[in-house]
Amino acid sequence: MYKLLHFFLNWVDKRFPIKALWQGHMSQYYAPKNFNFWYYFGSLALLVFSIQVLSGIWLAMFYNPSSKDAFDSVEYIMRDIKFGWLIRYIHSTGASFFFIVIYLHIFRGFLYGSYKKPRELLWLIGVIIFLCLMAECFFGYLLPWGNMSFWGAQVITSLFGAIPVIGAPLVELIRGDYTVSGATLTRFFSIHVSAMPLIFLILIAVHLTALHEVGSGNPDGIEIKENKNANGVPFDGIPMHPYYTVKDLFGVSVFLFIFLSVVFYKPDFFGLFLEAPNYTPADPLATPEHIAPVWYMTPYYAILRAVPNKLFGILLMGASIAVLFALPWLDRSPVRSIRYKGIVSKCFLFLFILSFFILGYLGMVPPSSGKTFLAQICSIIYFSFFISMPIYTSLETCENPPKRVK
Amino acid sequence: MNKFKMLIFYFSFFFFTFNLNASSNVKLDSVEVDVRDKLSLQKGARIFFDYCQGCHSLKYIRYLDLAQGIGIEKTKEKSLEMVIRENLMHSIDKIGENSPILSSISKENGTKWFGKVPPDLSLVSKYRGADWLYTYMRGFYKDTSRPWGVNNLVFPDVGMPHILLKYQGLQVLKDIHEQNESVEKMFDLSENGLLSKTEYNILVKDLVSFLSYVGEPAQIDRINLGLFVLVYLAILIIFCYYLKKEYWNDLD
Repeated sequence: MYKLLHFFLNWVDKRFPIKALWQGHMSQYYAPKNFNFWYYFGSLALLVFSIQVLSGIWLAMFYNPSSKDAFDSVEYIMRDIKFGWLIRYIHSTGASFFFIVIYLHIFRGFLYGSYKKPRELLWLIGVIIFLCLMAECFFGYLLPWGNMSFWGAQVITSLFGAIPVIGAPLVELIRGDYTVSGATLTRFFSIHVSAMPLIFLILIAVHLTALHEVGSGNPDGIEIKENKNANGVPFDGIPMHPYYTVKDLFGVSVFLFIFLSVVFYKPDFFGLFLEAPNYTPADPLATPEHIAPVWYMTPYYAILRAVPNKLFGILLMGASIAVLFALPWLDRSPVRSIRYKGIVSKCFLFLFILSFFILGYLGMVPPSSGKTFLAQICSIIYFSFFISMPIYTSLETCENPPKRVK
Repeated sequence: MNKFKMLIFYFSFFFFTFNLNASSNVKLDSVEVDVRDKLSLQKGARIFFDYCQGCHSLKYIRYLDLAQGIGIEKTKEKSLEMVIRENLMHSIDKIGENSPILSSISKENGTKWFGKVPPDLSLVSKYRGADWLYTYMRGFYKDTSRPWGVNNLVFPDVGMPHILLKYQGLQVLKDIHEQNESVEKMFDLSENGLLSKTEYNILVKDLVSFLSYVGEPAQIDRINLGLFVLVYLAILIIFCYYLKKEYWNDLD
C-alpha cells in the first residue's frame, strides 16, 4: 500500500511539482519559533473561509433569489431541510466570526509591525482582501430579504448617490433599478456566490505567495533570515510542518469550540449576528425604527454619521479604511514590534483600539447630540493615530530589539 | 501589556452585547419560556387555535410538524386529523397533514375589520421577542376612543381587539404611574375576568412559549445536538494540546 502510494506520488511529481510545493510552503518553509496567541488568526481566517464556502454551497442549493420567494426559502431551509438550520446558522455565525478573526489578524499587524518593509505588499493585498470581505458580507446580507436586509441595502447603496455627477446613474447601476428590488437581489446573489468567492481565492493565493516570499514576521520584529546556518536554514526558524500545523490544529479545535457554542446556543447572539427586524420580510413601505448595519460595519458607520455633511461623511468613511493602505509608509519607527516602540506609540495604539470599539458601539445605537459628539471625538482619535504616526514614530525613543529570538 | 489588551477586548465585547431591543418606551416584563415543557406548549397551542387562528396564520409550520413538536402524536387508531380535532381545533374539515397552518380570514375582511391584514405569527417571537409578547398580551387597557374600546401600552393604537378580555378582565390605566415599572403596576382592574392575575399570567406564558417554539422549531434539536458536539470538541482540544506539546518537545 505504502509502495503504491509512493509510486503514485512519484508519478505525479514527474508531471507536477507536488514535492517542491509541499517543501517550499510546508515542510521546508521556516517560520519564527516565537509565534504567540496573535499568530493563530491567519490559519483561522483560512478555516472560516472554507466553512463559509462549504456552507454557502449547501445554502445555495435550497435558497431562491427572487423577491417573492427569498424570505420563504430561508424559512424553508430553517424548518423543512434536514439540518438546514445548522447550515444556515453556521453560515450566518461564520460571517461574524470571519470579521472577528480578520480584525484580530489585522490587530496582530498593528502590534508587531507586520506591514513594515519588506512586507508592505503583503499588507496591501491583505487590506484588499479586507475590503472584499466587507463587500461580500454586504452582498450576502441582502439575501435573506428581511426588512433590515432591504433597508440596509437601500441606505448603503444610496451613499453612492452623494458622489457628484455620476452618483445617480451609479446607484441605478448597482441596484439594477430605481430602488432596491428583485433585480438588486438577483445580481447581489450572483456576485455573492460566484464573483466574490473567485476573487477571494485569487487574493488569498496571492497573499500566501507574498507571505512565503518575504517570510513571516514575529512578535519581536526580528528578521530570522539574517541568521542562517550553513544549510541556509534560519537558526530561529522551525518548519511550518509539523510544528505550526499541529499548533494551528490546536487553535482550530479551540476556535471550533467557541464558534460552535455560538452556533448551537446563541445563533442570533443577542441580536447582533441575526437582528430581530430581519425576521420580517422586506417591506418598502415600512422602514424599521432604527436602521443600523451589522456590528462589524458599525465603526465606519459611526464615522459617517459623525460628519454633518453627507458627501464629506462618505469621504471620511472611505478614508477610514483607505488610510490602511498608507500605513507601511506612515510608520517611521526603526523597530517593528510594539514591544520595543516608545510609550507614545503604545498609548496611541491603545487609544485607537478604544476609539474603534466606542465607534462600533455608537454605530449600533440611535444617534443623539451627545453621542454624535463622542463619535466626533473618537473619529478624531482614529485618524490622528494614523496622521500623526510619522511624527511620533520618528521622534520617540525605542528600545533595541534583540538580535536573536529569545 | 498583551493580557491587559485581551482583557479590554473581552470587556468591550460583552459591553456591546447589552443593547438593542430598545424600541418601545415601556419596560418589558421578562418571561422565562421553556420550549421543552410540552404541556405548556399544548396549552399555548389550544389558546392559539381557540382565539388567535381566526385571524392569524402560522404559515411556516405544518400541522404534522406542529403536532409532533408539541407532543400530540397520531396513533394507529387515531389519524392526525382526529388528534388535532380533539386537542386543538374542534371544527375542522379535512386538513392536509403537510399543509401549513393558515387562517380563514380574507384580506378584504382583515382590512375592513382591523385596518390591516392581521400578520402571520410564525416568526413573531423572533421579531418581537418573548418578553415583548408577554408584556403585550398583558398590556391592554380601556380606551373608549379606540374602535375596540381598548388600547395597548406596548403597541399604542394597535388594530387588534383584546381577544383574551374575558380571561383577564378589563384594565384601566392608572393616572399616576412611575416610569420603568412593570406593566402590571400601571393598571387597575375595573372588571374582573374569569382568571386571577396569576392564572392569566400563566396562560399568557403558555401562549408565548408556544409561539417561541413555532418561531424556531429546530431549537430543541439544536440545543440537544450542541451538547454532543461541544463534548466531542472538548476532548479534541485535549488531544490537540498534547499532540502539539509532543511535537514541540523535540525543539528543546
